[in-house]
Amino acid sequence: MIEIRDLSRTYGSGSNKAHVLHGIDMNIERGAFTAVLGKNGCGKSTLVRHINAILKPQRGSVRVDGMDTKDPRRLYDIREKAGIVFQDPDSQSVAATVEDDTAFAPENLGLSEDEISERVEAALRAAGIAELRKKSISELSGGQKQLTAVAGIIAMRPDYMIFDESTSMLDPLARSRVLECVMRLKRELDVSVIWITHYMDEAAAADRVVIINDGKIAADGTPEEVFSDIELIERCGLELPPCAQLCVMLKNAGYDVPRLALNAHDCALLISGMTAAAVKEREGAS
Amino acid sequence: MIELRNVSYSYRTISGSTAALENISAVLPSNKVTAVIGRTGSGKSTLMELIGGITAPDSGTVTVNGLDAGKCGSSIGFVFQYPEHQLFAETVYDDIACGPSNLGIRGDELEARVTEAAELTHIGKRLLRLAPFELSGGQKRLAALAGILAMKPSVLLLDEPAAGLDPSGRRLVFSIIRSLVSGAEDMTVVFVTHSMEDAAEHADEILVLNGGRKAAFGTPSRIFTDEKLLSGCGLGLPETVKLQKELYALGLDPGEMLDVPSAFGSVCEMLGRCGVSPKPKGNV
Repeated sequence: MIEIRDLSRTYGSGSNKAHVLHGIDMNIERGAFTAVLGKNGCGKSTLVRHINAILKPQRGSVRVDGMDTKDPRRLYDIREKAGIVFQDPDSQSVAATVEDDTAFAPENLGLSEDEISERVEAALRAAGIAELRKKSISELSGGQKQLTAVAGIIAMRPDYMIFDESTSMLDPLARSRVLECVMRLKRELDVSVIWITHYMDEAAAADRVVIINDGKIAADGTPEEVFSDIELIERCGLELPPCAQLCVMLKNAGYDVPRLALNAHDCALLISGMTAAAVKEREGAS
Repeated sequence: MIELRNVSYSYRTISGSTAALENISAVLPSNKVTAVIGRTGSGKSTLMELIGGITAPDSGTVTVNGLDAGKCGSSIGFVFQYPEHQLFAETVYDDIACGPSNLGIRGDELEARVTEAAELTHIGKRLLRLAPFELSGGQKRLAALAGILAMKPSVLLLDEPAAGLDPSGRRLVFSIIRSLVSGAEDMTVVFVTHSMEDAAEHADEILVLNGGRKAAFGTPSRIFTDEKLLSGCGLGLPETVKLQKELYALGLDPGEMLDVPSAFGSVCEMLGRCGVSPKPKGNV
């Protein structure tokens, strides 16, 4: 479990001093898919960078499976347990080819050669870039570089996988493929996923949604709970998933919308239910 | 106006050459917003570099307002995929001023341009004093856009302008884009996106690339009603079009719904046809 207690951080000094995180308290259990939302500059990235000890708490504490991120002797163990993929893949490409880059993390874990090649093969296939394995990183498009970075963490198989807008440059199919793969790892290996995103439809598929606003936790619950508080969503500079927006517009127009639908399938069932209820009402009246 | 005529381009590497674009022809109109969509690695960014005159095609021609793209200089503004790659000055103010300053603009005119661009992109005075690396990812994107707008280009190219932006930032970027093409001056905007929702809602024309070739070019309503085309290109449907299909499968026909506002109109009409009426306000 990741335990974050009273975590605070400031950047800058004097008149430019800004509180980026302000007394954050939260636990992240094994096997959960947690989406982290918030407007730009709200502190999402700063928060997750504390989990694998890239940043150390200025105040408060972060523990990963009981290990304090401020303890320099546990740094290696913590980073083995919690891996992060950044938004800009150029900031974390280390090797010359796709294959070597994907193998970098498992090699550093001291695994056997067979185990490394099995993991690299599976990760490249999972990310859908097996055919790019011999390509030089410099020949890749922005999205292909992101997929290489994602393959790297999949091959590493840490207990806590942190994705900091790591699929922002991907086409919808590549994005859903990465998401499916991560969900599968979560189910099969009990991996915990922390997924920072600006795509509300991705957040709607999570087990838990945490909204950070001005360095504080503004909401924490299931997608249904969090997206039901429309006022809060707007106050935090976010928006509802498209189908939920439609539900709200229909409700505001005076339609009897029984609940908020977060995806197309559920929304279609809801609208179809509204038409069926009207038919029933008419039949009852006649 | 941007004219692409039989444009081809290959990347040369140690292992040989890789075709990135093959025989692309299209006319991207002025005072319109064109979105370029396609799978990861389909050639979108390469096409933008050719339009921006950064790279010359191996064959074919790229002309911008009648001139060869390579000779257009500062009349083409380019906001790259990673905005931090184009921020380098000591403060955000200096960074925005850098482009117009290189064009020889000084004094009050320079200050006016920086102020105007900062206001347009909602960059406040506090941010102008900060170093670019102190900005968040989204703020960097807006600062990079401000720097380009301060040069007053007649063609604006944006590679993934909304990636990494929160919903309010995304709405801001697209409202800036819309205001630019709605103004009196001649302006052509082309943006690359992976968001089908953004393409459906904010583009007038859509160019679909698949494996370096032009797969289609047309209005959002033509592109997003052609599911065969989209799935053939490995692209998805906007969420509201998925809803339209789901409703159709349940025996309901709402008509076209490309984005949330049009979905609302279509669903209201359909509900009316099905005898579902809204209750008077106050009973909600």
